[in-house]
Amino acid sequence: MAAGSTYSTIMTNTLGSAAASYTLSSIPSTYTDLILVIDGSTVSNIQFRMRVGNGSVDTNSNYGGTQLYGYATTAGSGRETNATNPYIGASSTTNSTHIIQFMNYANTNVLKTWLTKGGDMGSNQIDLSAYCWRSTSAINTIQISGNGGNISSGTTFTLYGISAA
Amino acid sequence: MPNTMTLIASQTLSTTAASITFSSIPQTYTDLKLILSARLSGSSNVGGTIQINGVTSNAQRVIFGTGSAVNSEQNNLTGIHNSNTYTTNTFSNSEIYVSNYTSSNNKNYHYEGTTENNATASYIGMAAGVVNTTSPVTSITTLAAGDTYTANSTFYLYGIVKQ
Amino acid sequence: MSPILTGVIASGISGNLLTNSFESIATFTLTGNSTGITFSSIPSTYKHLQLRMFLRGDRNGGDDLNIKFNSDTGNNYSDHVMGGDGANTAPYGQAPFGFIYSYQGFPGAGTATGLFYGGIMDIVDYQNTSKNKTIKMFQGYDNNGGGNVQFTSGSWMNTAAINNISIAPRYGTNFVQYSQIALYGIKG
Repeated sequence: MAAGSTYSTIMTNTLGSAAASYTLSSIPSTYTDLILVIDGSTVSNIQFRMRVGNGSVDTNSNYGGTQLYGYATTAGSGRETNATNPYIGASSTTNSTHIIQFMNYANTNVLKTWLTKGGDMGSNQIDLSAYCWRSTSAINTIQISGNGGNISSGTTFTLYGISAA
Repeated sequence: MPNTMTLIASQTLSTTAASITFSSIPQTYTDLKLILSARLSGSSNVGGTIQINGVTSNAQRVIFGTGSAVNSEQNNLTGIHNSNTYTTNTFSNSEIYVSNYTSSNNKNYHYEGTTENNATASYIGMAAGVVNTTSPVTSITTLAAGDTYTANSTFYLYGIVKQ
Repeated sequence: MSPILTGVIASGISGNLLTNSFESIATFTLTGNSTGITFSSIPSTYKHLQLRMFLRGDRNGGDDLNIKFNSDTGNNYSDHVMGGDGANTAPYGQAPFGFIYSYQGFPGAGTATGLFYGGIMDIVDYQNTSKNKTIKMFQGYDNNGGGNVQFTSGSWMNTAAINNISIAPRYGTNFVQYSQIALYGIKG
């Protein structure tokens, strides 16, 4: 039966100045899933990218993703294999929302799967994707970066935890 | 374990209505989530727009499926709802997520919605949009855009916690 | 000049807010193989349901999901998909059908060891007896050169309140150890 509060804020931060990246660390392992909401922009039309890890982020080619996107009048699908800095979504100087759902992020018996959705009007693109970090380590560190440019001041990162019964 | 997702307000239509407005939204959350289960009185499945603080969404990037194709376009229609040509008693399942709604940035949102129909054709889609208002969100209006929502359409506004 | 809205003002919101609107109802985490997972006697005290799914099967190459409500095995379902397989968009629509399914939905034998699918299903107004039941589902997995991502809609063409949800591999094989489905209720 119901367990009470199951949807909680773990941390939230708004950048006070532009930065190449932002890292969420010391993420507790006590939840079932995580939801990361990025609300913000970058200094030019680039991309949000993300690495995860345990203690430190994995910078090796241990990520892969399958994408569905809409860009201008084109809908298409693509893929990243053996990626070192996986894609979240398009970004620009226009504010955008990106939502990342990490499933069973702390289970050390499984590889790590997440789903992303979001889009950016400045880049004229919307993306849905499924990604895998080929590691059984629990995720306790997440690093978001701008691919080829800074994340803008005022960008907010909010991490929620979902607890199953 | 502190806080949670909170129902702010809800509305169930007993008759048709051209729009639904949630006003005087508390400023004590981080994000807002509006859940809709709606049906339109007319024959078009794409008939909703969103206003934040009375300002209409000026643009969004949409990706949508029809059952036989996936397309992408730009429009300002934030609503994929069952029309009167779709299976009786069937309503859409949609949500509009407004992140960081108390910020001083323009208000961006994520939309996802599905119609359903006892046929191979039915609309489903996601959208990323922005409303050009830098004020904190105090009201959200969803409009049927030239149409009306039918009776039994329901609308639920939730606040997502603020630490 | 702002347009005059001839609509409904849902609230002049003040006080009496319904906190703790998102609650965990039940969770199944597999310790071994299982031919499916069923949530029964679902409480009627919520407005919406969300299922958060983390699944792997034992069928070679993967399997589709078979989702039914209230043990209805009739052709009373429809589903439509907006998806991508890494190379092409993958639209799909079918109705009527015997269940809601996730096409090529989750990984199985032959995919990377420990790889699981993620899926989030939302069921709105599941107790409303004036409405057929409409679901939306965001789901996918990646196998570093394979996999898919999908946004799926589905309908159970029945106005009865949902009290039972079954999720199984379509081709009758198993979900494997560490697969998990968590059911949450959302108040309204």
